[in-house]
Amino acid sequence: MMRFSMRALVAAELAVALAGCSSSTGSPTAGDPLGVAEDPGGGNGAAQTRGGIDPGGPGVVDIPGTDPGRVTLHRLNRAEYNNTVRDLLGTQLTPADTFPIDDRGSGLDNLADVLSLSPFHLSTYNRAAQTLVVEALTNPTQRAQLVPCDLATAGDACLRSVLEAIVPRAWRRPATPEEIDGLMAVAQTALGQGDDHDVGLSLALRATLLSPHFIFRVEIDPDPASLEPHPLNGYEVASRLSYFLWSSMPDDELFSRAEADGLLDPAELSAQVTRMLQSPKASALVDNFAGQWLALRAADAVAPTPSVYPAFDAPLRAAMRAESELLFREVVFNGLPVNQLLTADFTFVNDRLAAHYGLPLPGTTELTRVSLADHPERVGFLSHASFLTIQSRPQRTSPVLRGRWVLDELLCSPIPDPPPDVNLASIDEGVGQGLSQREVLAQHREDPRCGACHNLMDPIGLGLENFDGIGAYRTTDEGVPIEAAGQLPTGEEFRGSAELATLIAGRPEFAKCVTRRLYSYALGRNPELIDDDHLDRGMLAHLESRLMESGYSFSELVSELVLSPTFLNRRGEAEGVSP
Amino acid sequence: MRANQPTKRFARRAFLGGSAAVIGLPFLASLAPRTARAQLAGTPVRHIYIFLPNGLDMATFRPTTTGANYVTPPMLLPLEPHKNDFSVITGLENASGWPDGPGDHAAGTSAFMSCAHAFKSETTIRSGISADQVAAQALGDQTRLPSLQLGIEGGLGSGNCDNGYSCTYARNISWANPSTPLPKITNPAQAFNQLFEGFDPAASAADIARRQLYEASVLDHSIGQVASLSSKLGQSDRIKLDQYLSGVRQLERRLTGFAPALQCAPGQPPAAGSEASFPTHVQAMNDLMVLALSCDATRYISLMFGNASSSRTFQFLGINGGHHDISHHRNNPINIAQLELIGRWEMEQLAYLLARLKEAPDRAEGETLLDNSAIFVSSDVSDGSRHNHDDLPVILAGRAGGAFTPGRHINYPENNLGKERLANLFVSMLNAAGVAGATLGDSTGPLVDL
Repeated sequence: MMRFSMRALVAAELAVALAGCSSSTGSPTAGDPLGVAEDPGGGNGAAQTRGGIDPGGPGVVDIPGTDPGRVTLHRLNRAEYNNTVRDLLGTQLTPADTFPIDDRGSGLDNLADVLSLSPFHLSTYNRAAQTLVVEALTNPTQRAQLVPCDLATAGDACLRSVLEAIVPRAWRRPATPEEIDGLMAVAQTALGQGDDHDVGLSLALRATLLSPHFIFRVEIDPDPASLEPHPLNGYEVASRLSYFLWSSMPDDELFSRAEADGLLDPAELSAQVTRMLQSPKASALVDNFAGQWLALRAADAVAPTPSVYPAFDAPLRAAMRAESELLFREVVFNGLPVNQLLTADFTFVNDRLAAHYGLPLPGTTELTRVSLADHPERVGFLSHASFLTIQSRPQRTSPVLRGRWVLDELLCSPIPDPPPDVNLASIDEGVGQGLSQREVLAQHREDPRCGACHNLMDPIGLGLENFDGIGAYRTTDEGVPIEAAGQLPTGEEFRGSAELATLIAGRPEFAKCVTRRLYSYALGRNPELIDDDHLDRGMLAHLESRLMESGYSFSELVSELVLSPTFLNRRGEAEGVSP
Repeated sequence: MRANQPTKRFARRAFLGGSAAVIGLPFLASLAPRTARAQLAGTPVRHIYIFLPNGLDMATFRPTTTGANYVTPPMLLPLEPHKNDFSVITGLENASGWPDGPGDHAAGTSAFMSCAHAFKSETTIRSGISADQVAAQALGDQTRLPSLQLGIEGGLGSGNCDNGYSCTYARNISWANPSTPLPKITNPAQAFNQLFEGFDPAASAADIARRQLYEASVLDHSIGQVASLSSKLGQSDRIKLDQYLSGVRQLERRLTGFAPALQCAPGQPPAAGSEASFPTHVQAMNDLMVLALSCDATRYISLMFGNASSSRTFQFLGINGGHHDISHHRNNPINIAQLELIGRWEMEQLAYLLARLKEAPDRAEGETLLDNSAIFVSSDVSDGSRHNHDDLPVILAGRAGGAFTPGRHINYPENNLGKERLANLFVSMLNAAGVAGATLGDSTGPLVDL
């Protein structure tokens, strides 16, 4: 209880500062309230036991609310499609690379409501299915897995057995005999034209891959118009687990647990989480969760101006992204506390990146773990060239972008865009005139319309000015010695990235931010924070506190999330209501 | 294939009668004389919609006088050879583009040709049907593809797009309905494939018939599954399933022999790597649009030069900063000069497109594709520094089969009814294409004197 009160107090300080930004821009979206209005301890007298599952044991907590929410019919996104066909067919093709780019909401490309379909999507699905099926039936290794019998001699019986094996995996649930009959009828079209069973099977497999049961993750409500919560069935839980942790279909073990109703048992669920986080497939969390939360995917698109940064090249681009990914892998696979993403006293470099950083060369082009005991200036993600480059302008550093990103993504305190009638390029004009970023921005903040928000963002980014626009260490900016003094909106002062990292890693807003981002990613929907009866708000508060109590254990956060009533239950929706 | 063509032609004429009947409005030549002429001649009117991000520098875009014989303003100089083939239109407002709070670029982009007010949300997507899709849904059954969406920037990257608006709003100008954005194809070879997939002049009639039977079998299976799944889903889910079904139906039409035949041999696909640089990428898309119209593979095309708030650097013009940053110029002369340069380059690309359409013969003797096209060019905002959704910069090129009289600067002054609505321009374009009685967004009726 003590900690909750303290937390509310600290949050209030940040929120007060941000409210100033909000009023000055007149923006209704400025400044997330940072949970000020939320009571993290929960409890409005309407406490319920946790949804459909009673986890038992000492972890039992009351979460206020009864509504577990619902996830809209979820189209596989590009990463999910590629991984699913890899695990289903053993292919190394990645046909979804040619699909339309998935639109993002809240910075994530796996939110079910945002994942729409168009005729062009269907064209690409159809072409992908053709290509995949041709490969699966001609590549000897894939074919041996898929077709263990002899289609030429065993005919229909063989064909049917192939479908009975693959269709439940493709549709991620048992297939009815009628459904297999339907696919046999598709195959029969070819046989009726005098083609052989291979052609028939290829048609049936194409139909399997084009089916809405493959393209969508289907969860069925007993009554789609009823708001009554109900638990997911075992197969639906298996898919939620596998798409959360692997961005892919369930494996054989998950299917067999689902069949035995094992996934309705909390202990079994926790055991599965532990197992799944040890699988190489959990690197999907690095690609798709960290890739988006930490903006690492943007490393492929940054374009530092060559005349300003002649040192920037393809090997550096690749190495900087890989460094941050490898550090996040430590969180997923090796138990590195998630807040130590910011403070870890080691990192991963190859010769190219080590030279860029001024570290001893490890003597290899492979990224290698090295200690930072003698280089505290390179500690943690906020010292990584990936972050420092991605949050820069092409031709200069941007303390504004860096500060804003820290507020948005590490402290969950979003800052609105500037009003339109400000010259966003005015900062560029100061460059080359002997003014440092600190001096240019000081002028910028004199305009009260700018100052309200920039007083929050700039002091954070200015504390990182010892890193140039591609993350190399420097001591001067435009000839002016750099004074890497920074300040958080709460007034806490720091000098350089390592001190900033230590401040953030200890703040409850960081725990809250990790939790919120992972929660949206895990469920494929944003949390509902307004409705008092919704379980989301209480769940988030619970997960945040569990994360801190566990010493920022990522696997603990994942396990608790998977055991959440919102992860394991859903409901229908009222008809005729639209936003 | 060839043996089939007479039947297809006949089928298309039957379709024309059919769609007029569906629209259900009497044909009154006196109300739409020029439209009528195009329709009677049997030559369709095509639409191209081009989106330029981040507004335009109005000072160098806007002619100083109205009517014909205006002095070509600096930004439009590349279009000088085509001066009688387009009109400059000023004074239009897209009021639906004004966002709720900040978010002008996303709201203005989703409203670009839907003239519908975007629902502000990162996850709940609601806009409105766009003009190209009104045409496609009324008349698109006359071509292989009802419509085609092209773009240059896909939208990789990270983070949020615009102040609480999902990236969906910032990347899509074509909307099949309020919840169904139509993403654009950014790879020229893929666009070519989408247009001409299945075209195989060497195949025998028997092979084609068999292939179509197989495609139908696969697609029928999907349609059957939709039918049984739909009743088990909630209404939000059914929106997604309907999107799926629309896609399957379009595939069925194209791959199982229901779509009209092509009017040409498509030739070679765009060269690999044409998307490697921005200028060659835009040119490849311009060439594809001309090819698609020449072959009558589709009649309604949209092209986005960039997504909303595009940060492209125009290094080939000596501009190192990002376009969006520069567009917030606050009257700084350096920014203004760069915006003029960018705008003029964009007009060069338009000039190329117009020249190619002008040299492409259409069906009737002596007519060109440009005579029977309407090409709309504008942006999500007018001035990048003001984010205003009135006083939009608009170019309307082509004669639309005689419905439009280009070659002028047309200004619509504000009157006691307020500012003239952009949506009404789209109504005029739709009427010219043969969609009588069309409405769109906040439209009130066609614009006079185009």
